[in-house]
Amino acid sequence: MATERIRIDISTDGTIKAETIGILGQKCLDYIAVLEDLLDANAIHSSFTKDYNSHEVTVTGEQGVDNAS
Amino acid sequence: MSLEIILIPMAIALITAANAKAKSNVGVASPNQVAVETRMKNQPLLEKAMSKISCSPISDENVITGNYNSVVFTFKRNVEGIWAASFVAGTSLEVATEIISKIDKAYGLEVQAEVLRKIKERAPQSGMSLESETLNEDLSVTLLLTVEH
Repeated sequence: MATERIRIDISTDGTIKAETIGILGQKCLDYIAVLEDLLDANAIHSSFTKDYNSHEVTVTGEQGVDNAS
Repeated sequence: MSLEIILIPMAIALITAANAKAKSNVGVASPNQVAVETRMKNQPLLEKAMSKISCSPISDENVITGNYNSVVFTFKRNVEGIWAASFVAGTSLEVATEIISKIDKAYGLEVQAEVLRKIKERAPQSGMSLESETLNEDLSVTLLLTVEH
């Protein structure tokens, strides 16, 4: 699993832009409330980026991706 | 990247600085006074901002009095909890707006510092660790947090 990060830009007028990185699908929505609590702030806008539609693939045990045709 | 979020700290009213209005004779006792609405909501941060530009704030319950280059003004909270300024009679709208703009700019920097402080203090409790902190050319600050599992 890729490292999950959040980038936060704080401007000199106090406004904040946050961006989730490597957090896929619906899970990233949880971070709106997390950031509001962390920053004592209100989210006024949010938008999905291209990774929202990416799928997280979990490979367990000896299973793997078979590339043989 | 999966989600971009714009947030406004609670210390800032949900209007932009550009929308802050300067009006004559609105909500002030004397018809000759000038009132200036602001976006500022946090009293300690407002007092710090005023001090930073040498406005010598004097607080008395819900009123903060300031003085900038001998121009005297007072801040009072409006019904929405936002600080609004009124200037003594004879102050031009231009001077009043200029002073409030200077305070607003200093206030923004105080809010920025406060947000930084909170992130550093609270991130571990929220399951995150600070990976990097960058001061940008425009004096904005970029933080990279790693989500711990």
